[in-house]
Amino acid sequence: MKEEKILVIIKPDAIMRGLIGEVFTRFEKKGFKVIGTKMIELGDILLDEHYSHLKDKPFFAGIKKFMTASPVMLIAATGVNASSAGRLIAGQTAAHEADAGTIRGDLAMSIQSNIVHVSDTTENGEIEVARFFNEDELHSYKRADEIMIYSDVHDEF
Amino acid sequence: MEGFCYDIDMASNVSKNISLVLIKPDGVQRSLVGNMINRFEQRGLKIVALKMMVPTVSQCKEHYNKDDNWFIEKGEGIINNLKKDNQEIKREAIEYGKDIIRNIVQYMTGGPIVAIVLEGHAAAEVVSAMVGSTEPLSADIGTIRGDFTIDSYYLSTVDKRAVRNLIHCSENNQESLREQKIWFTELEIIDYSTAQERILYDVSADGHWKI
Repeated sequence: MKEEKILVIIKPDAIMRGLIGEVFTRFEKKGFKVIGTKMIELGDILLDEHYSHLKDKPFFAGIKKFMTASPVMLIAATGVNASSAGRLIAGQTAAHEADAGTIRGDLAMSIQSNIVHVSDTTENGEIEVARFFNEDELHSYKRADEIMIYSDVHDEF
Repeated sequence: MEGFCYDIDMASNVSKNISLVLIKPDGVQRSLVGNMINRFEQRGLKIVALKMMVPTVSQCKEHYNKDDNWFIEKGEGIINNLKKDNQEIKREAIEYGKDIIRNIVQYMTGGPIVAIVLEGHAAAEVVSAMVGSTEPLSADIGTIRGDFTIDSYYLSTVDKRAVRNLIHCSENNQESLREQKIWFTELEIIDYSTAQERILYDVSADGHWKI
């Protein structure tokens, strides 16, 4: 059983449209364990690091403007196969083409205003959680319903 | 509207009232964080600070802020109930009163909570009404406690533990300001405005949406 970490960023479009609870609920109900969450304003340093793969693109300034339009909500969550599960419930980046039933398919219309960022791989999950959270902001704890979320991977079940 | 930001034009600043909310360990455990946030958002309140944390004993004691008179009063109530039940009284009233806070500390420090500052018109009063009465069993249907949980004073007293009621909220704006300082630093409170606030509060919003 390999537990992975993911970082979720609830973006300004979701914050300003009153969709924080809706998005948060989807991760909770899916079975992720939220180990850290906080509302913060993103600064240049974090954004440059997080979007380093896009920094030479013409639309980078637009992304920065969008991501700093309001605070964001950060969620650090764990789960077995968390990154693939997270990718699936977020849906495709282009929200207008994302499947119904996904967060983007249900809640958004555009590519930039697509409600969430979710770590897309196991490696990125580790890197991104460490980038946005200090150690003392992450909490390991037992979830009462964990055994029923992973009945096939718990030895004691 | 400047870029993505909304300038809210209004004469009064009562929309800046706040409420300090703690989603307690049972609320986190039962995956109700999103649902509770959703309710507050739908009502028109704005989150201006939020974080997950494990409370310390000293934070809890400062938060509940009870003095000896309170301990004695509550303790005497407990002694009366014990006498009615023909049980032996082993300690002073003040000790029984202090048990209430000891149990709450045990409950609150037992796992992560989510602390939130909500902002909006009459925020503390609005949130109190949405949360419902302290004892879940007698809380109105439609409130957070009335909809999601079932614990009672009787059950928690018999089992010698705190009432598990999912969420704390401040009683009024003044209490909110006091409690906010226990859980958040000034730097963690964020100033911004949302589209919803403009519709709720802006003096020139009426008739603004015609093309």
